[in-house]
Amino acid sequence: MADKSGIAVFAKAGKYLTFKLGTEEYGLEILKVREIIGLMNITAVPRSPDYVRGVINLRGTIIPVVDLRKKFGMESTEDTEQSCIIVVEVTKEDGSEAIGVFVDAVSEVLDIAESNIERAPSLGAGVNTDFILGMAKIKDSVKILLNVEEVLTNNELIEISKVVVQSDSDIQK
Amino acid sequence: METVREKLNVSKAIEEKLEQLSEAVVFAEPSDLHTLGELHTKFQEIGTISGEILATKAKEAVKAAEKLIEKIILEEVLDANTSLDAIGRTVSALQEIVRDGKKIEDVDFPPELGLNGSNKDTSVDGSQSFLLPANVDEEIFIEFLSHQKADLQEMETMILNLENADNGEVIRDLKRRIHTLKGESALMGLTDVELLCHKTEDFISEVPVDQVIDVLLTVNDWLTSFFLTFSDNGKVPCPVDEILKSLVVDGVKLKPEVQKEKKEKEVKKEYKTPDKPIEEKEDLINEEAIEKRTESIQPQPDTDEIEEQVPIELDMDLTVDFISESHEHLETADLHLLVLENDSQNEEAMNAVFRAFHTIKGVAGFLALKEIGSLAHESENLLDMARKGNLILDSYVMDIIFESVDKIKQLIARLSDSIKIGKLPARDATLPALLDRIKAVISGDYESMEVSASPAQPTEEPESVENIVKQKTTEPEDNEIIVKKKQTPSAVQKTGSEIHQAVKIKETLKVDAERLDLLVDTIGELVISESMISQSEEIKKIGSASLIKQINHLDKITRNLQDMGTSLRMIPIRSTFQKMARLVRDLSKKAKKPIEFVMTGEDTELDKTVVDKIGDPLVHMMRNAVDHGIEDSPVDRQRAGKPEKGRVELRAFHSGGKIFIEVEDDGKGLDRDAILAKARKRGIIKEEDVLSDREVWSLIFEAGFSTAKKVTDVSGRGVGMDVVRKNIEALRGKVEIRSEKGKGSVFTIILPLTLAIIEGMIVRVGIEKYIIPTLSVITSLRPKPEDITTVVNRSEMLSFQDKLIPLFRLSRFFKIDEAEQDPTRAIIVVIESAGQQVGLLVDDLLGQHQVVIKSLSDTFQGIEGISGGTIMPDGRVGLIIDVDGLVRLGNKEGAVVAS
Repeated sequence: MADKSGIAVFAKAGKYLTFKLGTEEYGLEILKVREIIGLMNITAVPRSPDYVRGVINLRGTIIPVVDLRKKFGMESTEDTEQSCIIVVEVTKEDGSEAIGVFVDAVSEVLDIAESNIERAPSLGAGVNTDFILGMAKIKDSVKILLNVEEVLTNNELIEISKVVVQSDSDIQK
Repeated sequence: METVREKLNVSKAIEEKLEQLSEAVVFAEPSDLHTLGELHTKFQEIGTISGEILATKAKEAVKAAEKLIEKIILEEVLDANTSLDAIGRTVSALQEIVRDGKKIEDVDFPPELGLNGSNKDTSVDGSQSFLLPANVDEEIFIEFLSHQKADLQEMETMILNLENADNGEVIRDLKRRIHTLKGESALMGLTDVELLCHKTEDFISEVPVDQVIDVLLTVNDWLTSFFLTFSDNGKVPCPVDEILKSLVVDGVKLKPEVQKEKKEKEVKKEYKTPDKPIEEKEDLINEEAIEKRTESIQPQPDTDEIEEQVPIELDMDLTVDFISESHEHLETADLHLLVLENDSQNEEAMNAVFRAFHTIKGVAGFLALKEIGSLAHESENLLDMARKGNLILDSYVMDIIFESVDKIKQLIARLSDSIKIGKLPARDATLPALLDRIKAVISGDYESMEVSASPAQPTEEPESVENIVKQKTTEPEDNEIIVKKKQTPSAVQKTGSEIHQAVKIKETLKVDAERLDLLVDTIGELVISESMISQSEEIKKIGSASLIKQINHLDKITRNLQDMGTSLRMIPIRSTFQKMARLVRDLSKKAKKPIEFVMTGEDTELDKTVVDKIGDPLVHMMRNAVDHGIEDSPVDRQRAGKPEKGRVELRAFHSGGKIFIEVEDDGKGLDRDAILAKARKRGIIKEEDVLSDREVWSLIFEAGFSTAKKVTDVSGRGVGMDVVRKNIEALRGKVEIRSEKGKGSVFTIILPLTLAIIEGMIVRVGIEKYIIPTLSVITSLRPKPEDITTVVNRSEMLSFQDKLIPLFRLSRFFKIDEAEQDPTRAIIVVIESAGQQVGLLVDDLLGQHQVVIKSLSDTFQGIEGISGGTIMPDGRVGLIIDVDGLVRLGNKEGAVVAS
């Protein structure tokens, strides 16, 4: 969680689920992960932000699926056999909500020691580092540890969705 | 042991015979041998059928009366008229026992019968003498019995919990339960239970907790077996006095049953004045005297006592329970008061009102809510007088009772507010005045009050006012002259059905609404999974006959389960309708328009959420009907050839899988021209627009639209109708209006059966599928090229039933690329929202389906045009179109989208 000053809360040592987006590797706190499901039928929701893939039926509950590539402004790729949805539990003011995160592939669960975690370096003006808890160096690779609430929070999504709808109609006018 | 039903039948039969007797006696002449012979036969019949229903003494009285008639016929009596009179009094005494549920000891048989002077009740011989007072409704009695089993079980658990250390709460709850049971059983005429409960209450308060447990368990067991005897399968418990013996308070044993009469008096006295020691001589004081005494003990509004009326520490749980229960009781009271107003002899209604006040009094007393308690108490006294036939319920008295109900409602509302903010409620300023008025009626001083309290009413001739002033100043005894005493309680013919089934005790349990919803949801899932299996290609490939048979069976069970699931949340709309009955009464008084109000279909079942939410819109519609629908004066109505009394009807019924609620009035009807003029003035429609009736009527749903010449404090025409529409739309329903000028109007609310499931039309656009609620769909059609007109090559219009309506392409709203572009190869679904019809272009119709509505995640809250999702039979998520939102969207950006 980021405080108001914009300095990211430092990542804790513990188990992380790592996954791939293109060539980059990311990590999510395992405690936030509810389950991992393979690719399934996603119903697109019209007039929703473009990074929202749509909704799925998770055993009777309808949950949204966020395309992390789109969210991070990366190029879209074809879905593959390895594409999957990580269902994470996001805490909000009024309880918690399950949100699906669409990723290229899930790698492994890593036990990351505190000594391996570093603060996210400043990445320049264009990149907001609020959503990064820290960077973990494991052997030669670097995993970006995500603050999943920051990435997916309800408030932010709504703000963005409004902006998107707004700009859409602006363009059309 | 005979069953309850038989006993009820017998006691009803006796009651009927007594009624015939009481009529016959009045007309009987000592010389009229024929009538005397009939009287004789009737008494004989009563004697034969009474069995153990009547106490021994009552039977003796019947026999004696029989003999006395014989003597009259044989001219063996000195004064035949006095003897006949005695027979008459015997009949009324018996009636008091059978119909009014009086105790045999409280009834005086005329000395002419030659009965033993002592009022000893000889029926006490171990066998349970059961006499259900005939004025207690059978259904209520059965209802009462139904919940005893569960209640007693809970009580047992509580008693067992007493063994734990921290038991203050439990004791309080237990006391409350016993107290409630006492009150209820008193009403049911179960004096043994009442007595036992009363003594138990005393016992608990006076004996240390750890010593009472065994005794309480015995009491509980006795009660359990006592109630079981009514449902046909229980053994007769030992006489109540054996149990009473174990309830020893401070070493003083309770008096044996032989002195029952005295004891009953004590019970009354102790109950009402718990702090006063019992004095032997007071046993002789008659009931009235005791009641008068009680009155004087009631907190007087202007004494210091009132300062303590606010309990320093309210027991939150109990109080909250009380508040919610009281609402129910008050609503029942309201409804039955309305019945009483039309039929002041209706005993059932009278008793229902009485019970409501009684229960509230009891619990309020226990919770030390003195304001509510004293008001309920006074009202109860008032009703008791009326019940016993000592007071006629004229409109003034009825108004006072209504006012009391309202006041209690107010007091309870304030209590509930004060609980929320944690502050004690202030004293009610107008309560003392109301109490005084009630007391004035009770003491027979009310005619004078009537005049002085309602100066607005046309005053009588000056002399009569003088008289009243005189009467006011004269001795209190003189006041009795103006008390309206009912001479003879007129016979009320019971119309109850004669053929009865065996007693069925309904068992109900309260379930957490959340759990229920979860169950219904899960059933929904099951239905989907089941259909996925039964329609799966793989299963079909197996082709095994037995497997298919089993799957069909599974299918059937699943459907049953689904039906059951839906019905779980359904409750009758009765409670909401009852409120409307009261509302119409008040409105009709206020507007001085006599109105006949008719309700039908109160038992129609609706989803609980709907029942709760339909109230507001209905209030607006009823107000409109009374205030604007019905003509301003009876004279206007007569001129129009209608009966003076206006008629307002409220109906509910099922039809075609939907629920209809209709409000009909036979008043002026909607004024088409006035509405049109107003709409033109406000610029809602253009001068040259030609509108159908339907379109004109829908104009009144516009916000702030009112054609009322003057706005009353109740409503302005159409004001609130936009609220009605919004509320109904939130419930996925719609409102339709039929009206004819001069004849009246019908407002129809059409609602889906449940909120969880809607009937939807599945449409395809490109590769996407959407669900349009069928309720909003008017028709679907494949357009011909000439049906479609483009405006400045952008907006599209469709000619539909000789009108031009806007045409929206769903694919453009939702940015679906692969959609059919040529309208003549696509389908247009004509939908209606808020009276506006629009065409919606889709690729194909895929059929109709019942779908279970699921909320989309909060993430999609702001999205226009989609109201929710559902799980489709193939397991995918389907999106439900929000027709109103879509039309709004179309109106807003129609031109842009169609570009």
